[in-house]
Amino acid sequence: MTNESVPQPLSADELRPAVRPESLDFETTEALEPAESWLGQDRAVDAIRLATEIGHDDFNVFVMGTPGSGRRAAVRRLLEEAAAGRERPNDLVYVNNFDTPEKPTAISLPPGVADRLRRAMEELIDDLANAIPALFESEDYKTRRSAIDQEFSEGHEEAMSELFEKARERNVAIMRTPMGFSVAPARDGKVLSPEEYRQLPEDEREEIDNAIEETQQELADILGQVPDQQKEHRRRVEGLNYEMAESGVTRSIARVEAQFEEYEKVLAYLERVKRDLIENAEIFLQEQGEQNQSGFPVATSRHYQKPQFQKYTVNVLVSNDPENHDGAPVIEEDLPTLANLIGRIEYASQMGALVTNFTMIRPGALHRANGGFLVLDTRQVLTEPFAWDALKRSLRSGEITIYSPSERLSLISTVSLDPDPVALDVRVILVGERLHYYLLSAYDPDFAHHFKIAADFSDHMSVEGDAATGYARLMGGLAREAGLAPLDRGAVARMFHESMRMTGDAERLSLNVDTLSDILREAGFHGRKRGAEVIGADDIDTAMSERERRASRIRELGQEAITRDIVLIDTDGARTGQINALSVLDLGNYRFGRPSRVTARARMGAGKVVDIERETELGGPIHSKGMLILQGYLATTYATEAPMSLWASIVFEQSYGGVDGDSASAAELVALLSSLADAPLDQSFAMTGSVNQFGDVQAIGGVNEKIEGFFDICDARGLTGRQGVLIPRANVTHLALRARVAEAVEAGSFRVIPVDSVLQALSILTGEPAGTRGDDGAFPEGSLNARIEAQLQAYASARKAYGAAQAATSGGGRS
Amino acid sequence: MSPPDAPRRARIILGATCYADAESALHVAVMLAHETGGEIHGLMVTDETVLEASAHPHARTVSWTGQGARAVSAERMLEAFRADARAFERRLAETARRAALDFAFREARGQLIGALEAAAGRGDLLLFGARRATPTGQGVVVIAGAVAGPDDVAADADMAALLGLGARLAAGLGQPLVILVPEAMRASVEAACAQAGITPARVIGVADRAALLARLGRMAPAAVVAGPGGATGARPEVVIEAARCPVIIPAEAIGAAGAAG
Repeated sequence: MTNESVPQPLSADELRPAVRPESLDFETTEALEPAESWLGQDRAVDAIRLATEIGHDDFNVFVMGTPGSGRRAAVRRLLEEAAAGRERPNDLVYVNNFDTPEKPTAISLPPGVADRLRRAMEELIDDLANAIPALFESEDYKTRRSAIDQEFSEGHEEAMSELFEKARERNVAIMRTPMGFSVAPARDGKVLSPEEYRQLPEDEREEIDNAIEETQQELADILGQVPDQQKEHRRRVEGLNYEMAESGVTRSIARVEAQFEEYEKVLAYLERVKRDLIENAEIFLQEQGEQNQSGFPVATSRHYQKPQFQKYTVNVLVSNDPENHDGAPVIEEDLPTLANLIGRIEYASQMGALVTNFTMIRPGALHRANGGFLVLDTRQVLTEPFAWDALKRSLRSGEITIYSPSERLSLISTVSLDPDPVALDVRVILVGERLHYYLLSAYDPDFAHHFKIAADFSDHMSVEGDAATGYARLMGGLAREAGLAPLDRGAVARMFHESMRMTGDAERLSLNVDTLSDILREAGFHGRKRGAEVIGADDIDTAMSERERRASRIRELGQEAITRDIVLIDTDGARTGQINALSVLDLGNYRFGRPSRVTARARMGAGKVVDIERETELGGPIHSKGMLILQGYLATTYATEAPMSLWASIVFEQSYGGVDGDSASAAELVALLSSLADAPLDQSFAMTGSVNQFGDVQAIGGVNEKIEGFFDICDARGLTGRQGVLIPRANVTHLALRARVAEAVEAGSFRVIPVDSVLQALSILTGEPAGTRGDDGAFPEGSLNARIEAQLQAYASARKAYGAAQAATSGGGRS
Repeated sequence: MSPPDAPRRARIILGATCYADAESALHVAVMLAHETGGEIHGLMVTDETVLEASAHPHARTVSWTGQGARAVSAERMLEAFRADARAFERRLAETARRAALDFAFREARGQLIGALEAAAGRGDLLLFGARRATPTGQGVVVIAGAVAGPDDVAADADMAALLGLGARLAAGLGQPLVILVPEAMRASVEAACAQAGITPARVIGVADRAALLARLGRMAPAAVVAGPGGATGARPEVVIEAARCPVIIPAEAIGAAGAAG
């Protein structure tokens, strides 16, 4: 034990970071070039740049960091820079597959060509809708059609005419009856009655019978030829129609082909369109649908919108303006549902059935981002059903395949489409939190393969080097982005201070640009309100005090409970086994410290230190760990020749919620030592710090809030000059206290004392030396350590005597 | 009941001896009814000549599609007449309802021409149905051979009405108008067409009745509009037999005016 030196209180300067306005070489941030929003994020930025520049597949990037770290803005800027240097990607269209309509054909086209093709097809249909009916109305067509009709009908009519003439000559009448033609004997154009017929001579009857039979046969022959003649007639008419349609379609489509002659796939498609148009030219001759009954004028030339021409539509999924030189697309999909990611096939209800076709294919973010970059929020992708799976599937196959979850789950069995997959060339940027990255790395074996690059955004940066200048530029840039007045030097210095407080470290500056921007905007508001042209330090102070005031209802309630002596916290006097520990409450966007009374009581026992919090299941695991470390210290520091014969209990008084963390373990140990040494502790102090098994006091978090929490209680009751806080020496570099604390320290009415060990703390709090073992191995008589050891030895002796007495009692009983 | 002095609405009297013939002329009847503002009267004639012929020991029928000769009896033929009458009435009612036209239907026994003559009155149009063996018809043929001459004012008016009816029917059916006329009257018919603003596709002059019938028999018209026999002297039944398609004859042209006034 070598902790006899008594630590000195810190000076006011040591409580606040040394960023002084006069050290900044500018008047206002207006004079500064705005810094990139990724200041201090070189590692992450380089990772993203690598992902944008490396050509290989699967070098997708996971951007991780805490929300507000400027990840998204940085990603957006970096991607825009990278995209600007790239060519616009191809357009994408889906067209009808005339052979297998359920498998629409995808065609990739240079930028701007998709819209041209769509318009060209619309114009083609409009042209044909006018030209083909005109062709079939033309004199040429009518003449040729009439010639065919005439040829066939005249042949038949002539045969019928001749037959009727022959029948008359044969004295046979052909009559029209409900059962068809009836052939009967006749004389002078009049049908003979059966009686008249029977009266005819035998030979004449026979002659008539033969005539009737021949006439019937010839009639049957002529009529029997009609179906074949009609078939041939149809064939000839279809041939004529085909010829007419072909001339019109070929002429019209040639103009379209000329526009797209360099695109083989388009030419192949147009060839198929041509064949289909010629084969189905009758659709251009269909009657108009219902007339417009609304009374409003309608465009008469938009024939391509009619249902019968839908199959010639060009469904443009992705269209890039060739005049737009923004480069490759950067798509941010905020709602990455499966459909929004890979596209979807829509359905329409017709007669109660769901139907679809290639015109109902809709693009997803992957289509729009193809050839460029796709930014997705990790949490959103992971929480949308099937989205993560679809993303990985697309990356793995290098294709975008459109399917629906209902199909996949066999929930619907309607007719659907199986569109051509589209080749995928995209760099995916997942933006998420570190936890997401670690979980995906641990549980998804595909993740590491598809996302080879991690861009880890820092939460803070060091103040070393020329960081201050860069940070000032960052402040200026944020103010400029938010449309605020520039900051003067004082305001920048105050922002440095706030930034350090945010990190909880006087040597680190926060990179949470969202929060910094929030503070600046609020300060800007106060600045504008007072008519200032620049944001000053006072505006920052006002903004911060207002933020604290808005958030401090619970803090004030806690403070009020203490000042009203409802929660018992002493800030003066002395008491054995009682100490003020400090804890921090984090309410999300606001943290504050508050003192808690810790008490320790001890007696002879079996070597157990009872953590009441743990026994009541209010203590967390880290708190329990601290308690066990404390026991380790006790057991190995004092009275090591005898068994630990202590029973002690330690508790956070008036604590009714959970307690975790080990930042009070040093205070708990000091309280227990006080109890053992029967040495009252000065209640003017509060203490924070964790302890190790050697009694060293170690750094804790939230040191600023803790000090301020105790200071505010003391201040409320009246500062005595004795009051102060013992903190771990390792936390001195974290100090960035509010001015009110520094001012009190400056005035000598409050103290912040760094300590290295619990014995230093014990000495300060008791006003007595702890004592170190002498050459004889004993602590100086009367010292705190000597009294502690003596007490523990007394417990051991008492326990030994008690054990012997018990044994004697037990033995006597048996004899 | 209409008041006694109210003009009677013209009637399109569609007569047929079988459903197939009637059905083939229904669209023409509708068109004529709309054209004239008249109503359609269906007349199913049970042709006694046919019934008598069916009683012949060797009576046979050949179906419309040329299916071989089948034996028939008078009883079966009569039953067929009745069935066709029912079908005719049903179809007429349905067609008239869809076309928003008034209609009437009745059956008669006798012979087709005689039954229609008996039913017709002044201003009526007689429509003789006839199913065409081939579906396509070429043109509406007007037989304009009945006019007496250019000096006859009444005849001029009749011819103009006949040509006008033919022209409107041709337009309605989307067919060219063809006029068959005695060669000698060709010039006057052409003049009448010019005067009425009618542009026929063809005006064909024929020498006589036989030439007319021969020419008509070799044509395949969609419909025939025939005037009075007059110069060509063709009887309606002969024209109907030669035409083998729906034939329209004004009541006056067959001397039936007033018979059923």
